[in-house]
Amino acid sequence: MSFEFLSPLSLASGLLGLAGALFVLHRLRVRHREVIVPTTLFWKQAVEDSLARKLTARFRHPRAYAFVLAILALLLFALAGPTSTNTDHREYVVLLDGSASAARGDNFTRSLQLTAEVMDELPAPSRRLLFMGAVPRTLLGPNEANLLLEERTANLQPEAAPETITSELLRLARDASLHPKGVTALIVGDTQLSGELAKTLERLSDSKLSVLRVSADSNAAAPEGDSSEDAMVAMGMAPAASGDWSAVDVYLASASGKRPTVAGIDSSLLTGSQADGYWLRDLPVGRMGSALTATAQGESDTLTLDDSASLRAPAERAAIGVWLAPSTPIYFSDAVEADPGLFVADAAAATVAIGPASELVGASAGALWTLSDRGDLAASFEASATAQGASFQSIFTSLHLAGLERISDEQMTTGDQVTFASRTTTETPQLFADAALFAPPFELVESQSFPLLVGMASRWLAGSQTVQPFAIAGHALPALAKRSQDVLVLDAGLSFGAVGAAAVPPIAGNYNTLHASLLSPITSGAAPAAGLLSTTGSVAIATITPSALKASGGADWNAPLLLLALLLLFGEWHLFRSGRMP
Amino acid sequence: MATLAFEELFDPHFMESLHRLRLVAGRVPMGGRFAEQRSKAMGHGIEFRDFRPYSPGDDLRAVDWNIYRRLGRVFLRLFEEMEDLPVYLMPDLSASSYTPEATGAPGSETPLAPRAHGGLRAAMALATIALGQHDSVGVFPFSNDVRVAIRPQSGAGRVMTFAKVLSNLGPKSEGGAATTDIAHSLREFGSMNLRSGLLVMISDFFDPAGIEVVTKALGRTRHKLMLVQLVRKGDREPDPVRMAGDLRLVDSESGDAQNLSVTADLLSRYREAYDAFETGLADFATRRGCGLLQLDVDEPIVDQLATLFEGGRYQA
Repeated sequence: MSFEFLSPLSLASGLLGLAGALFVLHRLRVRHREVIVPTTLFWKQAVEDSLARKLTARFRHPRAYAFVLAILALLLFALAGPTSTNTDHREYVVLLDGSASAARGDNFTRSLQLTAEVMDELPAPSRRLLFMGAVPRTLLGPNEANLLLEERTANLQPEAAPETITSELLRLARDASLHPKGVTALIVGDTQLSGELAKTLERLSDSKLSVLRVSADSNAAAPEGDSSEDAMVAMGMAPAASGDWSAVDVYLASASGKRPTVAGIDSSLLTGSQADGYWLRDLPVGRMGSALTATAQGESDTLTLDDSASLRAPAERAAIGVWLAPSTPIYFSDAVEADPGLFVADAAAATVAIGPASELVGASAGALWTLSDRGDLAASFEASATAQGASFQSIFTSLHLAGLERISDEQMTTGDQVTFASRTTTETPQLFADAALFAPPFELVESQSFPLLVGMASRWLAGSQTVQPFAIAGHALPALAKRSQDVLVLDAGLSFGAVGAAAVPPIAGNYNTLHASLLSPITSGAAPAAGLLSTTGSVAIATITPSALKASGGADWNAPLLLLALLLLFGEWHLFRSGRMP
Repeated sequence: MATLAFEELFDPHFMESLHRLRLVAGRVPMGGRFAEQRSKAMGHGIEFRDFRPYSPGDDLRAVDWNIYRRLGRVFLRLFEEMEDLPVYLMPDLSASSYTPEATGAPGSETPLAPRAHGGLRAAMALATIALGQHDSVGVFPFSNDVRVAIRPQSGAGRVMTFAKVLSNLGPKSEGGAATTDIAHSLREFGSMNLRSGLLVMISDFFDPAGIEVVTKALGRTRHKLMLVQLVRKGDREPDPVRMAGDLRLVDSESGDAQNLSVTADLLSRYREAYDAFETGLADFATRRGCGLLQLDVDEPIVDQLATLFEGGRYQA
């Protein structure tokens, strides 16, 4: 048994209190039946000798007490909403797809009906319902009455957002591994799992997460894509690869792979391919205005909610003060002055200090970049971070992409390597760089990436540099996903290919959260863009009907309890009328 | 239901069953009409009773001349004077006698006839017996006071008249429910200065003043007494079905309510109080030497009356 409104302990306490209260009431209660007698003379004489209303008199109506107690106990049980529990004690999480793709036709209306049926069948204490819109939110928590569902879904509509079910499944998979009996995720919608995701879920949850799709028909086929539909499936922003502080690179991809149109931007500025998506390079932030909107619309496209995506540019870009020690090479000063995100500051006002170790002693800056001899270091670069959001290694890696390590043919031929090491510290974040890197044979200062190195390293030291090389709502770039060290770090300890990952603009300063309206090609039913998604293809999700969940939901005991209480009430009335019970 | 049907009182079988019963008085007071009861007076009857010396003025026809011839003295022969016995019937018409009573479980109870009906049938039976032996019979129903329904009269032919009058008697309606006040009723009856006779009080004797007051008032009457106590089985042993649980007992006469919870202990005390009441009445009857009949109103009347008439005679 489980109790929808009362815990068993509360119920037992209530029952005990009820029994006690009834006991007292039965002692005090007087249900007089009027009888006319020829004379009360002898009764009065008898009563004078015995106090009939004495509180401590014997218990007078044991049968009536038992009847009333049983009836009220049954009513109390019925009020508690007892149901027979599921035997497996699993947790049920119903995921109602509220992404833009759910807006197709009457899909969402049917999903709501199906959700109501599902919630009726599941045990209240171990089920919850999440609406998977742009931001997942709980519609119905454990033990909340199903009656609330109608009110809470009255004005519910799909949101112009990419599907978030897959990211929620990842979170559930991580939690499921800690659940003693496992978790069952019930998807109401057309979301499908990629093969890669299915394997990851299984690995993360230790096979304790089972994913089922709820369908009115257990033999329903998986939704098929509609080639006539097109959708924006990716739109993201990254610091300009050129290193231009005042510009960003914007990534765009449509489901069909066709070149999307960007409001106010000449489409010829978009570079890239149908397979890899398109880039809008070095887009000045000021030119973006309040938002950048891209559109991809197919012929006879009926699902318009996924046709456009918008991206808001960073609103504020605070520069970082850098103090350069007297012996710091002049090219550092040039790089700082060339970077619009940095400026040369006094020692007292600087956030980052750069210079030889001997001159940085006593520096008041919050972060230090020490130029050391290679003999003092375990690697060419050595980073010591405290609470930095991401490893400096990612910056280093992205600089590799820009060819930082290929600036010297001699370095390549001699096999000497620019190496990297990191350690954790609880003190000031520091970066140690071998001073020899800036001289032959490396001569990093000759590389076009050197200003980038100074800018990104300074921002990392200042704690304002996000290391995601690309911020693409919903998906990571395929080129990054192929390298394990470039896999986006979603949560502490959890690495995945950024499916459904929240995106944050990786630019120093205070920013608004990146806002994008994008759809997954899987959930939209459109053909997936090549390279954007896992190449392992989608896997079929087992379907289940609401009625099939009844066994796990258990039976409702309210009606039998109320019927039994009614029978007892009738029995008490009959016994009273027949004079067999006072 | 308040009044008794005439046919119930004037029933040939009921009348016939009474012929074998007789009321016999020891000595009726002088001054009555010629009838069948021995009078305290000596007169001109046919049954010799005594002699007494002649005194001037005596009727010479009563002189026993045989004694005078043998003894030379003049004696008179005295004979029994046979007169009627005044029978005063006092049926109880108080509200307690008309209390609607029933037996069985609440909701399915069987109503019982008012106990006053049993009393009226007993009064009719006694009137029939007395009238049949030429005694005079009067009917004086009472509750908190007494009234005259039939002045004392005799003659067997008046049985039907008695039946009609008795059948028309009902509870006193004016002034609310009639309470029982036996002492007051007896005082009023005494003030009528009727010839001494047999006072038959037919009542449940449920006088709120208590049995002591009732017996004191009865003791003060100058008439011979016959007490007919109207009882029911439930008087001493309340119906265990009806009289169970928490009850609000309403007195049919005063309207007073008594809330109580019936328990075995309370029932025991009730029986003790009732027994004390009955004992008080029985002790009085013993002391006074009068007849006391506990008449179960739910049983045949004549059979129970017969127990009072040993050998068919009741010696008043």
